[in-house]
Amino acid sequence: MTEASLFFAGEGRCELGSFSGHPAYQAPGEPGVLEALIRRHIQATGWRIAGAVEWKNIRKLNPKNKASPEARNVLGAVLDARESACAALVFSRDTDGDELRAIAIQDGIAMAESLFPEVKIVGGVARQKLEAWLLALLKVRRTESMTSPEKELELKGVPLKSVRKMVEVVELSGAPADDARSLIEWLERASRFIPPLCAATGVESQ
Amino acid sequence: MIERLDIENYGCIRKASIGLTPLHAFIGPNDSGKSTILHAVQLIGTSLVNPDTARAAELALQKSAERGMSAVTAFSADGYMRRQTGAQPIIEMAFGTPSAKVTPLTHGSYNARHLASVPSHRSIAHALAGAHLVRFEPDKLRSPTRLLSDFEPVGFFDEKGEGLAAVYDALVNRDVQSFLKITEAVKKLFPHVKSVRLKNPDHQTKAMAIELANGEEISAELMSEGLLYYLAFAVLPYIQPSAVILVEEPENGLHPARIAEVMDTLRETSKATQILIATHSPLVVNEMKPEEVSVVTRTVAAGTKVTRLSDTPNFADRAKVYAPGELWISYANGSDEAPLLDGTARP
Repeated sequence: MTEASLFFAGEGRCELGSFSGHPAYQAPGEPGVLEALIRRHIQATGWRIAGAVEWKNIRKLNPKNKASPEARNVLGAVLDARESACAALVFSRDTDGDELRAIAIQDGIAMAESLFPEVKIVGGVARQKLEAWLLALLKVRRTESMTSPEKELELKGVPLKSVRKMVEVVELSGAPADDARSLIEWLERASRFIPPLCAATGVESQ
Repeated sequence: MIERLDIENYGCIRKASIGLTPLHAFIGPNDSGKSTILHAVQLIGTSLVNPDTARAAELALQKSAERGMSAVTAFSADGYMRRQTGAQPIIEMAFGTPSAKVTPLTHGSYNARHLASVPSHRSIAHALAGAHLVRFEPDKLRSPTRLLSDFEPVGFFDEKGEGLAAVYDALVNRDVQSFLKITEAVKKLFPHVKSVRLKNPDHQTKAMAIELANGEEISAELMSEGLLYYLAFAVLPYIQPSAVILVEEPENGLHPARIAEVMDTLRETSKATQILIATHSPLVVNEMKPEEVSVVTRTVAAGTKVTRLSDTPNFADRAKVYAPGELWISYANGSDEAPLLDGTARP
């Protein structure tokens, strides 16, 4: 019985855990928020992280390319996923209040699905930051309009950029607040693609 | 046009077979053999075509001989030209239209007049009628120079660009429309420039200058390096004779936004004159088609290896995402370029 291979992309350690940084130093051990979300809310076993990339490590050196850098990030990540023989790309991207970024990410997903249809895309924006998703998992409402959710999160006992505490929030969480649209959409996308991928490898959903 | 170049035991190259296009770039790590490829073309071109430089080429090969190699020049009978040193080194070129049977020439008679006198050699002589290497340096481009006589072909005095003012002076006198065309392009790219001028520092020399839109005149010593480089590249199409121009690192001294314009100039030039480039700039490579780019690598075990970018693993997928220069820099590791050449994951 084999596990489904997933490729992750994100801004850094909060999203990727010990799969952040240079590939030579990536290893399982400390999960990031994205891994924790899938294990807690979608499927605990039957898959593994086969590689990861930080957005900043995807090269964009062609000024003539009219596509947004955000869309090109998605394309670069899905190519990495394909070259790592992964069945899906898992990612999140903070909007940081920039709704054009959300549109660009959607464009990137559409292009990636068109160019590499064999790689499923479990990705989307965290509106406005990953910390807002964690607050939503703590049942806080209106998190998507918060410009500094990290401060609210600190008041809830999660220090800034503390990956371990962030993952604990996820591991203890139930369904998110019902107005956390970006998180809900992300989880819906994950539940649409990941269980079938695991089932295809012979691993039952848990 | 040279379509294929085979090199054996020349410089750091043990054995390499290289397909070429009218505009072609060599990329790869330092010390991989990119410049050696250009020098091989320069050596054989100059030694065969120009009797004045034949001696220098022979001396260069003599140096190879001192390291245990000897030099003899020969032509094969199938349209390939061979410069052979006993057994080695060998630099061999294949041309677009192979000649019919070629009569081997006698050692010591290799010059343009002799080549052209043999009908089956004409295409070879034409294809090698001047192999100019350029590796421009601002100080050389700035320096006042003697003029070209009416009998001299339009060209730089050395590979670093000495004689830029003389080249422009010759262009003004022999082809003023081309000079005006370059001036218009310069004004478009450098809006503060009103005109390109030639000054006489003394009665024997010329120097470049520009007039600014406000009427101020800027002498060559004070001109920007970017403008000097552009002027040097812009005049390349008018260099005579020019069957092959070899360009070392055209990106040097250029603002990134200017690289595309210089590459446009080189591409235009390549319609009549083959241009071979050695570069470390992904922005230069972005302006090339994948089949116009070769990756040069060298390892102790395998020696120099030359691979078309379009022949690298996973190229079809990678080209969906990246422009050629992006693709190179995304997968290059600066040593053996294994992620690019072996199809392994990005470094």
